[in-house]
Amino acid sequence: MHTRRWAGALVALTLVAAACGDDEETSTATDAPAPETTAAGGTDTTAASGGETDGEGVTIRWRTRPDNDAEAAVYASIGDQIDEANGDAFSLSYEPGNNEGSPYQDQLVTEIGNGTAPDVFWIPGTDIARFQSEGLILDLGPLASAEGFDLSEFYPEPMYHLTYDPAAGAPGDVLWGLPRDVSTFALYLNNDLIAEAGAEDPRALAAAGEWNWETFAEVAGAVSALGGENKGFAMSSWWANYGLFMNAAGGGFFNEDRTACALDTPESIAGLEQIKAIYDGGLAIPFGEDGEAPWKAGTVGMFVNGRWATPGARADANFNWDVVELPTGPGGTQGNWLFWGAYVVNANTEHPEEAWELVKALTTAETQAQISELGANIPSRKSDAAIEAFLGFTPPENNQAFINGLADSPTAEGPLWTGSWPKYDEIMNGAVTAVINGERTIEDFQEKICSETAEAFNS
Amino acid sequence: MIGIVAGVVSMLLASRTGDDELPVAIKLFMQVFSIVVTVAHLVAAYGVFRGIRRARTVSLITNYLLFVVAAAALLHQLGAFTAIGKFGTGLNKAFLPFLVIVVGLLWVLVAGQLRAKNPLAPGPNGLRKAGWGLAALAGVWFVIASDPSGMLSTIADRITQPVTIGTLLVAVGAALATRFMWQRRVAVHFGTTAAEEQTLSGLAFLSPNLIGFMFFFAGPLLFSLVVSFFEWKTTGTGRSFVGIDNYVRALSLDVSSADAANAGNEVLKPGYQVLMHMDWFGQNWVLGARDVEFWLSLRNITIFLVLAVPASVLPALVLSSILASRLPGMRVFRAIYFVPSVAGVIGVAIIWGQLFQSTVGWINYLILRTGEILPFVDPPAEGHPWLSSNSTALLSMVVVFAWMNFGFNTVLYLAGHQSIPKELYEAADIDGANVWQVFRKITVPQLRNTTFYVLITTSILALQLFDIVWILSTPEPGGPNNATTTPVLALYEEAFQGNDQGYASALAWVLFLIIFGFTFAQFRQQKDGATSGGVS
Repeated sequence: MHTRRWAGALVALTLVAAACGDDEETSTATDAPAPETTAAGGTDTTAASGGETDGEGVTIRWRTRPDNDAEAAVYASIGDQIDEANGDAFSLSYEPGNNEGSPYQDQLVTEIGNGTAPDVFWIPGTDIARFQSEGLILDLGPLASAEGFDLSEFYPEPMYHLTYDPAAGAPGDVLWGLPRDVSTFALYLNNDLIAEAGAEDPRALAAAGEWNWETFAEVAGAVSALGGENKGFAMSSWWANYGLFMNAAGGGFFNEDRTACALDTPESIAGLEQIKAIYDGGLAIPFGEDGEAPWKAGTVGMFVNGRWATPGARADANFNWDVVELPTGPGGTQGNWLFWGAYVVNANTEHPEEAWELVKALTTAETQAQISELGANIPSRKSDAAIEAFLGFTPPENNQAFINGLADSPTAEGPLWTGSWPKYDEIMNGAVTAVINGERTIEDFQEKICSETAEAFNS
Repeated sequence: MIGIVAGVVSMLLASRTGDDELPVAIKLFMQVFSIVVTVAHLVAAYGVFRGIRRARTVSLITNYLLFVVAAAALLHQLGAFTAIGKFGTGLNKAFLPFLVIVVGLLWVLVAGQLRAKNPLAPGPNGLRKAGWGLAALAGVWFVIASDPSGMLSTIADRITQPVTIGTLLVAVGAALATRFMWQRRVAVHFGTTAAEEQTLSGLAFLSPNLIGFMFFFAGPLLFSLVVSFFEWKTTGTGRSFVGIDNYVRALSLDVSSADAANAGNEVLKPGYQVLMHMDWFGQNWVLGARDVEFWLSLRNITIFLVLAVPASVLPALVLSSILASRLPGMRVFRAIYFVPSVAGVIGVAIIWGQLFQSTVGWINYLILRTGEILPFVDPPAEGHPWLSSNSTALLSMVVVFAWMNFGFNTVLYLAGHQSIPKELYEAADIDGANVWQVFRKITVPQLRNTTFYVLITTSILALQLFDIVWILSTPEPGGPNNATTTPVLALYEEAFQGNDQGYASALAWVLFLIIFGFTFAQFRQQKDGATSGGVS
């Protein structure tokens, strides 16, 4: 009996050991010797991190947040291609992050705290400052300048923040990462509903240079006048949505150097008044409601969202749809945002050089063109080839609307280097919601909002 | 003596510095544990030397715990806990032989059953041996197909590390010491009584659960209490002792009179934000807090508790009385009402979010259609924004919470119904009591214990509300304008978005004290009056 028990235990251990056997890719990576690595940017890299060393080989773990399964598959494929092209220098391990809406950054923060975060990971542009100020990401500046890496091929707005030196209060020789892609807002149109309402086609109005807040309100009003469930406009309560009205009026969240609140300026207030007028006039589905579902259901004429909403529209919209650029506000621009996120390197990586090589490989024009072909992202490099690949992805027919948004002085989605962006967002969002829902007057908002948000600059 | 050496070695391993220095929390735990183990071993050694009976018990428990901790540390150093992904990969490569192993073992099981029915028949024995043979052959196939060389080389690489060798020696030493002291002849030598032997056996059987509870529940709980006295970054990038500052920050309030009815932060002390305005006796007052969001979350959770608990309990009480009857089809309905309790909360919340949608949601659709059909109902012009309106957002969460929990409460009440003496109903029937009187005078009092249990568990669940709010208030959790912020949501945001684990832990302990106080008060109230029947 005892013999059988011991034999059973031995068999079980053997099976576990067998099942835990490394896969082929990892096994082959053990052939190459590990290169000498040093910390860059003076950051302490003594702590163990996600980088794995199997035998003598190096495995770099990387993660990004795809918007859907198809995009996750492309990122995995890109990882395989880089891995193959890379030879024996190091191998890659790709970990798709959660989709949008899930707490991607929260998981990342936890893993960083536990020392199990990947070597290279993507974070949204608004998070660059808090990750940098906590010392969680590596300064790639020394590595980039040592090889003369050309940063001018990327859009300047993200690069402003990615080269921002908090000590100097201005862009400097530091480099916190490279942008994965960029995106802008556009209005997703239900052409059938707009035609049924007898309103003018927003695309035609835009082509004629007559697409502004006034004509926008006319189209929204006409669709809403159809009655029933139909509404002219929809947007979510995310900060970017009401922020674009403030931008278009010539205002914004912050002053020019982003060191103080600018929500109480006449221009920002004009933007807020415009939003309130839209909701008070019954032109939009209630503020705070998800706009995407009713637009897909065919009951909303215009729905504002980024390029990332395109795959969903292609899959679910059973009507004639397209996109158009945002209407021009009194400030003379669309007030659009330039959304971006960046690949950054874990400050605790044991292999900064390899991680930097991976960041570069993930942001080449060729790699970005592959992502662009999926239609959800605009390349972060000013590459004509990549833009062509993006424009060729139809529907929507009017892809140019997104490119026009890029060209119309968009405000870069940016971190708050001198305060806490999550805290600022929390206070601002509550106050704007209260105004739009009629629980607070605009006058009260203008009088107090900047003293209320002062807490965020003290954080 | 082996244990003393093992304790000292584990202390040295825990205190090592350099590249492989342990994280502070684990290091602290290991150091305290090593000191306790060493002291306990010294006491045990003294007792053994003097032949004291209880020395064996102390030695056994100490060595056993040391073995468990050392074994866990050894598995960690060998990478066993992070090898789950590789386990899946290996299993995938050798899935077919794995299936054959399973078939072989099932074969053995069936043959064993046949042999049990007819022990003298030769067939089942042969089948059983054949099953073992098949599983063994498939095992060899499995090992070859899954290629364990990578794992073995990793183990060989790591096991040569000095720290791993030290941990292995501690584990083996503690295991040998435990095995030695467990022997019957040692028990006889120390004069261990039968009662002590039974206690030790009982503890040994309970130990997996007890150790799991200590490590994964009580340990982190106490650790969070320690963290709450620090300014402790979630990312592990800084910590400093701040005493009770986190608690003071969470609970600080300031009241100030004001000239204007809507005065702002300027009338409050620095660092305070307006929580609410009041008009008392013709004077305007401003109530401020250092953490407005937390106080709002306390307000919200109180309202939620008052609404959600009755909404989850009262329908369950009534429904269980109906389902407890012997009407046809009741079993089916019992299953149906239980379904929401086993459904995933995320999926449920997403579906309810669609139902609540103001323009294309089914709830507004039904309300509007009902208004059109019924002549005496005036239909609203537009659908109500259930989730984005300050007045109904929290109420919507109450509906979802009650829908998810009343089915489980119904099952608890059904269990309570089983223990109500049937004679009571028969007597009531003879006395001519009507249905309401039976329910009011017999069912409800007899289910008092069950009601107490249901109230306690539902209240605790309500006070810990998080996931429903997280999904239904996307993209601004806790919105609109903090109308649905809850304490757990507030502490989650402090920990992961504010990167302040210390303050988040303090909030968690404040919430714990609230829940504890609430539960304690309910227990005190329950002690009054006689009880009988139901789940207790």
